[in-house]
Amino acid sequence: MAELTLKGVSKIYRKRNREVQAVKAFNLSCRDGEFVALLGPSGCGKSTTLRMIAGLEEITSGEIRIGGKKVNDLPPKKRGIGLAFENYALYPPLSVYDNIAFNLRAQGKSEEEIRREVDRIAALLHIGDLLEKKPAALSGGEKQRVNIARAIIRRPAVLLLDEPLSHLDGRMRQRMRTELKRLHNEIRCTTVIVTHDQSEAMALADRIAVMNEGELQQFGTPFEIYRHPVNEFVAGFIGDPPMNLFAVQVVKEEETPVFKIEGCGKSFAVPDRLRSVVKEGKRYRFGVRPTDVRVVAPEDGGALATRVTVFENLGEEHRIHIRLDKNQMISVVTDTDVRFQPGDSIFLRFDEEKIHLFDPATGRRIQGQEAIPA
Amino acid sequence: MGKLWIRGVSKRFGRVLALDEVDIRVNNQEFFVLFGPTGAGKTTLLNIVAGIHVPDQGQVYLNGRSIDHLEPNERDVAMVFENYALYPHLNVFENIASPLFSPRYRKSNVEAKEEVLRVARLLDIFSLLDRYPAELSNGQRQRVALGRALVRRPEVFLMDEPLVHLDAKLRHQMRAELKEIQNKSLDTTTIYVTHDYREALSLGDRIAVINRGRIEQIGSPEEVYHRPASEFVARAFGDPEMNILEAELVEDAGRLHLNLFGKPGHFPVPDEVRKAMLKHSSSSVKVGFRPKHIRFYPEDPEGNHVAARVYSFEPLGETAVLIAEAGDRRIRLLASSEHAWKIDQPVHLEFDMNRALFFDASSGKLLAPSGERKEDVVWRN
Repeated sequence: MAELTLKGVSKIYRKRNREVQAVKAFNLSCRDGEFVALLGPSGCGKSTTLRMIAGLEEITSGEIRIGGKKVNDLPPKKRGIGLAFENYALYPPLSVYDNIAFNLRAQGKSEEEIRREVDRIAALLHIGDLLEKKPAALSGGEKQRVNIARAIIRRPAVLLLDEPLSHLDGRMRQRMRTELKRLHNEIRCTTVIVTHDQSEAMALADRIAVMNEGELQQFGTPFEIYRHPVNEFVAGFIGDPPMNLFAVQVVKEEETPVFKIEGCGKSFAVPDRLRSVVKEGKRYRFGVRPTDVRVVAPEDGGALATRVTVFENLGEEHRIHIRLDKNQMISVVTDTDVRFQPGDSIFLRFDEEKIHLFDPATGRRIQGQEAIPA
Repeated sequence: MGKLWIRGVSKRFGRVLALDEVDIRVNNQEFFVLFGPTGAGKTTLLNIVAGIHVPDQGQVYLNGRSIDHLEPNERDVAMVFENYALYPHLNVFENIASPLFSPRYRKSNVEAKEEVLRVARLLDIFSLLDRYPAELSNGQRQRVALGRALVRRPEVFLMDEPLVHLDAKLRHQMRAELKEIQNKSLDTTTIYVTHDYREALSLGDRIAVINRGRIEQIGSPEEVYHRPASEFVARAFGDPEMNILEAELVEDAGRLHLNLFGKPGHFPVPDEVRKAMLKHSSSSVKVGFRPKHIRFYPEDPEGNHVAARVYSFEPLGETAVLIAEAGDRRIRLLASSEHAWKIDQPVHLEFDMNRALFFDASSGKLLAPSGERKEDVVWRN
């Protein structure tokens, strides 16, 4: 149990005489007992960051502290961490029991004590009846449970998980996600999970650190990151189906300011809330989630008038797709019973509290657009 | 014309029976989906149609004629693979034209050009003919790959999980793009293999659900979603997965109730279902509820609902999955992520019996859905 802090942590590799900056001046502070996700696309530096925390990778500059103590120069064993990777790396000739007990034996604990500890952990992870089996006899989900059991048995100060669920398929993955959440609630150990799956990060973490190209983009609760992404990258990375993002320009039509969609020429009114935020003539990146678009009646003024390109009935929800131009479509998710055919005319209104505007040059969120909290 | 009959096909690999008397009739111009988990036998079946595998038993007929004796390249079928592999060093025109110069077709340049232009117009990629694959968006690559299969004018298209390697976001987008092509220009009979239930529901005119080499159900998206033939089918469509619970039927003063949580009387069996249920010889059944058909409340002042506690709360953006634990059963619920639920907090469940599905406890076969619902019948896609 400990706080974990990273201050200005950087990692520079040398590759064919060129410097590659894998992680750039990364700051992060995890509270004692917090569950934090490092989230980003492959190559964003999240695994390198985890490996630096674990001591498997040297830190080029900056400082890592666990429980207030600087660990930069400590070997992995002395950092008080538990590690579980994507591949399970269990010892094949040993039983599940012996795999879990391995580290305790190395510490010279008595067999009686070991038995007590293994039983406790096995109960937590629901693997009590697997203890006599060999790893080869286990399913993927079971192997990962044993792997995690092995990581937490030494009661680490910080638990580090590197893509622990990505080998598992759909349903098993969801089940393990729930078990992991439950486990964290039981042991309350400061935990850092690396994942590229945004839904996994949202489901599990108290706070998410979104990374891209070695840099921290945003650190916040799943709700903050989902509702108030700081830039276009975070906006597009978080959420499934993904946020609709397209280029607009503010122009005046019949004395009222409208957003004109670039490429297709269609327009819709600038909502009242944003009139003081946007400037006439300026261009923006306009973002709205598919769940924040409403299908409205034709007489609803200021709506976007368009036609349905594709209608999908997915059982629990419908998705409507509208082609803006050759390269992009926008999507709408509805759970009403209204059904459409391709070519049907449709009127859309974007939930004005949930529109996101970004600077087309920097990608940053335009200031002053925050919604009044409901 | 592309009418396909896969007639009683079985295939064994060593000790594994990969396909067990599969019988499917695909209509002309139909978009037919083979859906099932990994290892169900979908790809084997597709390969038998393509002529890559020979069945141990059964035949394949195309437009009423057996094609079993034909080599893969002699069959009028075209395979579209995962990833839409295009030749990177050829431009779009050359990629689409490539099958026409194979020994089987050997078209003249003039004919080939005409054919490529026809397909390019159809798929709306006329302006891209000079570009190379690296210069194309994913949606455009998909069109080019389809174009390459279309120039052969096949009777049947075979698609093996073309979207499987894409991440969730691209899959959403590419599925829409594929459906757009399907709406506008794809009238070739197609067999499409997938393990993604959304692809199956969105794209399929009909869906065959395969499990361990056997057909569980063949039906329209509406049928497999609302009237799943078995517990397996019910679980396979929908996310979060349908809750399927074991229960006892209890008759009390001529009324049929369900004992779900040791509380008979709280779950009256709807009248439409009663008749089907009374014919059922055993008193144990399985009852299925989709997550959105279970309501839940933090409090229960009148004591009408099933008491449970929050096992986990997993926000996923707009919605969240709430897993409740009642006794030793875990129940998946669909919640809003706006209001966070704490682990172990009490939660009270109300099951919508009018939306329940009833399955045989031992065979898993559907006994009865809770009546016909108007809105389900007009499923339009």
